[in-house]
Amino acid sequence: MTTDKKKTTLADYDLVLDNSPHVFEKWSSQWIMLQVIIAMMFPLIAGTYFFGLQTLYLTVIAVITCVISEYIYEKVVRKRVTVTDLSAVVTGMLIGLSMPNGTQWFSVILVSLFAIIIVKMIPGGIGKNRFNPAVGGRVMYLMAPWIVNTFVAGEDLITTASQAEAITTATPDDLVAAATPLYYIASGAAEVPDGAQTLMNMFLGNQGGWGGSLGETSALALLIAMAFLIIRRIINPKIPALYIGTVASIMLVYSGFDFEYMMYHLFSGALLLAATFMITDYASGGLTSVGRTLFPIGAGILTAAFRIGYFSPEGVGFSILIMNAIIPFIDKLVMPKIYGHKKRPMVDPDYNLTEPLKKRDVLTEK
Amino acid sequence: MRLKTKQQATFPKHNKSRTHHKQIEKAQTPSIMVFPMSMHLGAPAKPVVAVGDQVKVGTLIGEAQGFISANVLSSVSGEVISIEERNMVNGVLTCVIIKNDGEFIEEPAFPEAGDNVDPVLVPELIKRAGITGMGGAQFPTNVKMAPPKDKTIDTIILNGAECEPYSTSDLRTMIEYADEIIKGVRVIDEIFNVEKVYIGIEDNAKEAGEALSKAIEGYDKVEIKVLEAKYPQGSEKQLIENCTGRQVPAGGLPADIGCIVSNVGTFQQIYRAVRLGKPMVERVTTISGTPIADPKNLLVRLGTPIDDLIDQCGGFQEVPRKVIHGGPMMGKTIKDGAIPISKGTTHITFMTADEVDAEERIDCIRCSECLNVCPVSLQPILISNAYERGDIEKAEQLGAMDCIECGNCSFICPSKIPLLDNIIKAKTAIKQNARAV
Repeated sequence: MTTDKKKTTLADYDLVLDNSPHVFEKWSSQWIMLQVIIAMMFPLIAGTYFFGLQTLYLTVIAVITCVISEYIYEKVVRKRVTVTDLSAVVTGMLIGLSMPNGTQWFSVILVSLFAIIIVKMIPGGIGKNRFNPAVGGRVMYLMAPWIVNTFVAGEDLITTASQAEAITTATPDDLVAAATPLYYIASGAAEVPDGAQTLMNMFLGNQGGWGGSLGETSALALLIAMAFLIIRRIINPKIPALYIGTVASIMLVYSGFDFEYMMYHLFSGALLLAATFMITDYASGGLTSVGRTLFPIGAGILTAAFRIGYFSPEGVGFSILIMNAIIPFIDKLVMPKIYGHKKRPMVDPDYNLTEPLKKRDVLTEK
Repeated sequence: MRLKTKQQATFPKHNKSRTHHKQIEKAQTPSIMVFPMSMHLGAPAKPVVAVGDQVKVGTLIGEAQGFISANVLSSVSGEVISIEERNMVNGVLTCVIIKNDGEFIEEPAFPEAGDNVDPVLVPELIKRAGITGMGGAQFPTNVKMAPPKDKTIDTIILNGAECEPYSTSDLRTMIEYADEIIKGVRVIDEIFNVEKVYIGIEDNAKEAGEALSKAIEGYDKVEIKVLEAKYPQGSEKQLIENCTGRQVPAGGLPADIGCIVSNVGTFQQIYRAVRLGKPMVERVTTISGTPIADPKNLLVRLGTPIDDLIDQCGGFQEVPRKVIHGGPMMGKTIKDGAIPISKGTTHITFMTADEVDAEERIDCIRCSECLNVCPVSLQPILISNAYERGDIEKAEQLGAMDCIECGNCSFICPSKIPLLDNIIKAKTAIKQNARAV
């Protein structure tokens, strides 16, 4: 070895010591959320095209409310502020897209507050919420129309068919403009009645003065969004495929293999929006592989049941919430079999609803 | 021909291109050599030399202690100048420091060695040669080759699936020493007379497959399995399953299901010990990573401090921030350049500050990715959560002890949660609890 040049030694360098692994996949939770936000631009643009600027401004209101309320909540309970993870933006956009045509800004704020504070933050924030915040907010909006009506009486157009039916007898004329295409088929009909929207219009999203949620109107935009998320590997294609497939199969059988009737169901209501953005939600979906298979199948069966049996197109929302509630128990039963073991492990669901906030935060800060 | 495996895995960047085509080069041996009394898994060896003693290449300097242990031999000739405690990769160890006289005078070859060795003697020769597994875990090879009498061994598996990024030492060994490797297989085959021999390699090691195919001509029970290049394809349990379809039972050993698995380089050493009577005194190690100017595959004498290899690889072209004994998935970071190349040092990886990720941890979003990549089908996030809540019992029920510490969960986590750290801590706590009871 030559001696004229100084020997290179590790002692001359400032080296770090830490644990393996030392390389990481180049992605982050923020990046994942950003992909979802990009995907939601497709239905947002379609909604704005067909329903006008209200789609845009209601969505913006929902996003701002979600982000600010999450920020304030975390400041108040002295938790680490997590709004930079962009999950509140996703929730806000999804709320905006799920709002019916003609919703008042005030309702959007209430729904957003409910979604973030009650559904997401009180159970512990991102990843610890058992229910999908946006779906929770949307269903709250449906369940409590009287709350909204108390503040903005009469001005809020009722758009979901169940509410429509409830009020039809009182003011039938007001509702014609707001009735959704789904209204025509959800009331137990086994075929598409005359006078309903054409399938092509429903696919493209041209509701021609009909009602419907802002982001649900164009099946095409939603399918593009879904394809985007699948290509970006954000969602597992089996989840929307199983959900849509389950609903489609049931509807086909129920209508005696009426293809048009089945397609009508797929393109109407919240089905595609849910298939793309709601049942694919990480936090409130299944954790195990089998759980992730059973969740969309279960949600599909429930959605079909709600649509056929009970006069409620909001079946999608209810189905998701029901599956949200039971999926931890399903996951518990289908935990993956560990290599070299004969039996699956079985441990209680990993939800920390009862855990004191303080202890968790101490550990998170570490 | 490539075997697509269903095993759950990740795809870290290979980073092998800088050394893939570089022939093995003999490293220069420095004047001061360091021999920790544990270059193996199990009980440390006991020093059997004293300061001032003269040693030769192959002189026993540390004697194996207990059942799972291995001999430590000198790789140079010279004088023992010190016996001291030093901080090594896995903690403080007694080290024998030898001043190399540069003569490389060798001890005589083992007298029993040759072409017609009684198979019964093979484990003893392996033990005398100080051979351990060369894939990283350093399990004493003589123990592996002498399984309990009630186990029937019907399959030998050669592990050439070099899944750690940067490492090309096995690849080059397979290309350049294919014949010696296969001769080593025949030695072990004589003990067990197995039904089948598999050589598992990854599909990015085509040249290795070609060299080995040539070496196995006429040796019909050997089959080369070309596996999809993914991590951790070279994990013992996963390799067994991919080759034979069998699973090692929880807490068991490969011998329980009739398999003997060892790194390709280990078979080369077995050949040299049993047929030529030579001890294990050197190995191929890849020195690579962005800071290294001229990365190489070096044939290094065991006990050569890492500091003495840097200049041989062109020195640093960029400032190193992290030095890893092994690869970036499972390797351990080191600071001390006096730490030597050991029997399981497949490679030394150097990383720049830019490559050392330090992204902030955020909350789990329950994306399930850690479940999707775990090769043993654990639920890493649940074990990590249980540990962080102090629920060690739950961590155990979730299978923490079955973790093979491959690092896939931490690698994939988009929220940068230190899942593997937590699982390892949980394992430590479980072991402590078990001892307390």
